[in-house]
Amino acid sequence: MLSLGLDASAVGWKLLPVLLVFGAVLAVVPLLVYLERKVCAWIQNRVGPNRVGLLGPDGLAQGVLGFSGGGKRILGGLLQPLADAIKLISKEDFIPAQADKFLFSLAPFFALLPPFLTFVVVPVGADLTFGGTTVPLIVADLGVGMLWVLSVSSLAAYGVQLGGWASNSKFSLLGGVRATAQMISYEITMGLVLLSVFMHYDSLSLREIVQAQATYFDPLLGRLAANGLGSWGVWHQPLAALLFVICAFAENNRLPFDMPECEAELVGGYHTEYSSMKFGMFFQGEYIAMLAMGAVISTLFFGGWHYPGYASVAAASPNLAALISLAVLGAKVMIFVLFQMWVRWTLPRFRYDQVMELGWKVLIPLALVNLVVTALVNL
Amino acid sequence: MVDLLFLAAAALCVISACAIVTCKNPVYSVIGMLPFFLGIAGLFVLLEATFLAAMQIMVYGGAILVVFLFVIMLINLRPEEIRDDFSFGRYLGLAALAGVTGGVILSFVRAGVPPDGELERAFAMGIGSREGQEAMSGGVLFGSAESIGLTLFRQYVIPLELVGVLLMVAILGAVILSKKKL
Repeated sequence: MLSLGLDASAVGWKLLPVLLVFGAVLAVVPLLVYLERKVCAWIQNRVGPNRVGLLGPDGLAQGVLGFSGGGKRILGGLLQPLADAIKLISKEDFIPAQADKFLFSLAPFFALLPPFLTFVVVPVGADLTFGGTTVPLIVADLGVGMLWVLSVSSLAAYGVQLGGWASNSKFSLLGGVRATAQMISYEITMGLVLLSVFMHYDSLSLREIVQAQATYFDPLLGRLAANGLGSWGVWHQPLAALLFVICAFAENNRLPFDMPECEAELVGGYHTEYSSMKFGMFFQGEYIAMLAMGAVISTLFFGGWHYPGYASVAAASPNLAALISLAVLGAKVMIFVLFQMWVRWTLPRFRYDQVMELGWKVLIPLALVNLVVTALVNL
Repeated sequence: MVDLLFLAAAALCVISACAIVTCKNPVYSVIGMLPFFLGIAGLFVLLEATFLAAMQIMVYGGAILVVFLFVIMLINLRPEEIRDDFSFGRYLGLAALAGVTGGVILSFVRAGVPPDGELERAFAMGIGSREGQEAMSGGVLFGSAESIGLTLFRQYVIPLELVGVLLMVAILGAVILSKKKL
């Protein structure tokens, strides 16, 4: 047998970013479901979920311990995701009689897996140091970097497509067909946008792209300055940032691009026939995809984990700086997730032909122009 | 370890390839191609050709297969419409496959096992990582996007441009064939 050439502690440290990233994503998803309902309620001038909490007249503490906590609802509704999960798991897992049982059960996994895989190449923070061992907070710094994100996001179409076909329902099939056409169309723009980003940074690696956003040319000082917001990619590639954000909405099938599940026409689109935890997996997949897109957008265009003053904190304590960088990336991701929710509950839905026209006749030409201009500037 | 990973990827390829040709439902055959392409991408990664691996998943796994699936779903063949005839040709094909596979295995056995070391060294630094790639080829990022780009645009510029022209012709042809009115 060949020796692995790795000692156990090195393997152990390599597991840290893996556990950190995937644990954090899994922990945040239920919170996002709660947040989405709350955001929706605020925008529609309602209260939102406020019953299933810890303390208060309907809280968990009263139900289990008989302790009402003074009759006031504190953080009511925070346990709503738990109630949702119990409901989803305990519902009947129904498979339509004419459905293709194997593919019907396989499709939700395709919805859940690709968004997870996106996080593999996202640097979530600065390097941690433990007794001489440097632990980069990235699952795998692949040489192909961003191409990995494109690859796995192109696999996301399978869940919707298979789910739509295997259900053997016209609404599901139409939803699946729409989703495939939409995802393929917007992937072209996304690829072209990423090309201009690669050209600008001269690198495919997200790690290097984050590093490149750490310094910028300050016209007032007349020299390179460190860790300013002025170094963010969005100032260098504003059009690319805008196009990428639009494509992210379309890739995640979120409003205003939620053609595949448009309730008004298609009942629920590709997941019309899904119930119980299979529906739950589609549902979770959507929230993980929102997080993944938030992470990619903040890494490419908004400085990733970098923050002003990183260099001075790192000089004092590298680990503290790394922990702050984790929180900074988390905050940036949450801002983009909230933005996606805000847009969802504010804008009406496009018509399907409008989605296609926007994709092919507006976004792709704009992305091409951006690519050519970037190429000329970088000559 | 590399051997184990190779065996896993190779087994994935062989099993899914068998599934592709034996499944009666064409949709299952197309789905079988997905693990096949992923296995091929895994083999590329083991050879430190990470760019090819990413392209394999993106182009074949993502784009081409989705279109295959799209077409087959829309045709929506009923099981009774799919012919299933055991013909002589099938056994001939099996014999040819066995012959070719045997020949390939024999040629490898005769050539001997390639020297160890390089791949293990690269793996020790992390498969697909920059350090691993550099160790593979003495500083040059073998199989990376950079090295492939440099080779294509330095040594093979004219063939590359010709391929571009060919693709353009194909795209225009497809547009003209599919549009009744232009």
